[in-house]
Amino acid sequence: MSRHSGHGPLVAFTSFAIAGAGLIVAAASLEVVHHHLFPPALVAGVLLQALGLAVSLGHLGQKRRAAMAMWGVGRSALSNEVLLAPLALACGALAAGISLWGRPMPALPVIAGVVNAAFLLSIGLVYRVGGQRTWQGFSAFTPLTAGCAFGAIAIQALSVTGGILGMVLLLVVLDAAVFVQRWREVVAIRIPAASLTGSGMSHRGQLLGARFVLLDVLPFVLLLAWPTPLAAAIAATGLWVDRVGFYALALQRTTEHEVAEVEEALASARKPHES
Amino acid sequence: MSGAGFLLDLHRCVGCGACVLACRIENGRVLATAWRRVLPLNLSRQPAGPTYFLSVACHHCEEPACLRGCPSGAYEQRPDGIVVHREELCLGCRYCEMTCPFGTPQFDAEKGVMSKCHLCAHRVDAGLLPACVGACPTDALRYVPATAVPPADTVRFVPGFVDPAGCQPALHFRTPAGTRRVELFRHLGEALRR
Repeated sequence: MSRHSGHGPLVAFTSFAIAGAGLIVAAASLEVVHHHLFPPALVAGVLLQALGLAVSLGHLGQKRRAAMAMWGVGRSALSNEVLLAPLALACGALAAGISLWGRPMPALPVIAGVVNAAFLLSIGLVYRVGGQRTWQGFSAFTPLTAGCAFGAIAIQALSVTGGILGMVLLLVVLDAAVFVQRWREVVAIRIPAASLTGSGMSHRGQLLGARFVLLDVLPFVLLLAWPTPLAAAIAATGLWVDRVGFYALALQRTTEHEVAEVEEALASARKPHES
Repeated sequence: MSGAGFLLDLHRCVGCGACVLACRIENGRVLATAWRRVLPLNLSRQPAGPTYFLSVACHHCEEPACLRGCPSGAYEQRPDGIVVHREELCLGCRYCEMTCPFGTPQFDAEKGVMSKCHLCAHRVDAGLLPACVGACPTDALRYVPATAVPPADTVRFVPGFVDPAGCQPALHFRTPAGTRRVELFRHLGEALRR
């Protein structure tokens, strides 16, 4: 990924898809915990997901072959994600449609929530690849927790009824706990100085810190004071920073990196003999 | 015994780049990104320091990460172990670029698909050597057929070939030590101290 360019469509796709699916999962949680359905969250979630899917095509070199991405279901994590994406969208759309129709069926949002949670997890698993140092461990769970935290914050900020601060707190704390683990993992990685040139890793502290504050801290503090749409806007920015940071911090174990590490290790081992 | 692959003799490689050029010409990649590259390993990071050259392309792994991850099945492993990429099935999603721990697959922006070394399968099938191997003036780069047992004085893992994805690359090295299972890192470290 070090030589990989054109992350724009991936950042946009994952930002929209995670936000959309997160809204649907949070709306489903609201239905389960508070027996309160908030249809606008479902509608917004579906629209964001649809936008994300449309944008994702921009990443493909051969857009006409997009449907072939499902051929590897069961073998390829990417195929699993591609299969779950339209399924999550369809379930969300059905739940939103029925709830808007005025005859809500409580089971539908819950089913949509479960499928969308699976989709969020599948996004994380796509990037769990052996050669990527910064995409290991807890990074697989951040799309799920970040999406849920964003969804809950947005519903609390925009809902006229409100009153779900406890649920928001739970989801935000869960996301913060998972993200802090990822933060620690990334910071613990030792990287040869040569590999840092032109890499987002040289700004990892700022990127990870900004994401944490914008998604997990500021919106919740604002919501404690009063429900304001500003909290949702800040959380959305935090989600976007999360995705930008995720790709910017990609660090592939290429042969070039390994060679640089060996050279540096030998150079540092040699210094005591010289002195 | 593993699948077909390359053997690189670090004693002999002088980093001339003939293999890269031959690959470019054979596969019509004169202007595109090269499938083979030569990496200098300068241990002391000094002009006069001992330098080795790693001529690398696709390692035709026994458990290829590109094949495992490809959503459209564009990668195929032949019975002789050669991993080939089928352009007509490629989406250009570049997932293989993320999954390969050796930075092998290259994105061809003109065609909108990935591409990589196929070990000159067309030449191998015709009983010829891969172009890069045939062009090597010092015999540093060799072809190891699937049926052959790699020489006893070769190793599979040296610095630069950590295998974090468990791919088991079919690449064999004859290290300066020439000793089986002696890591190049340690050997070269000792050489440096002498």
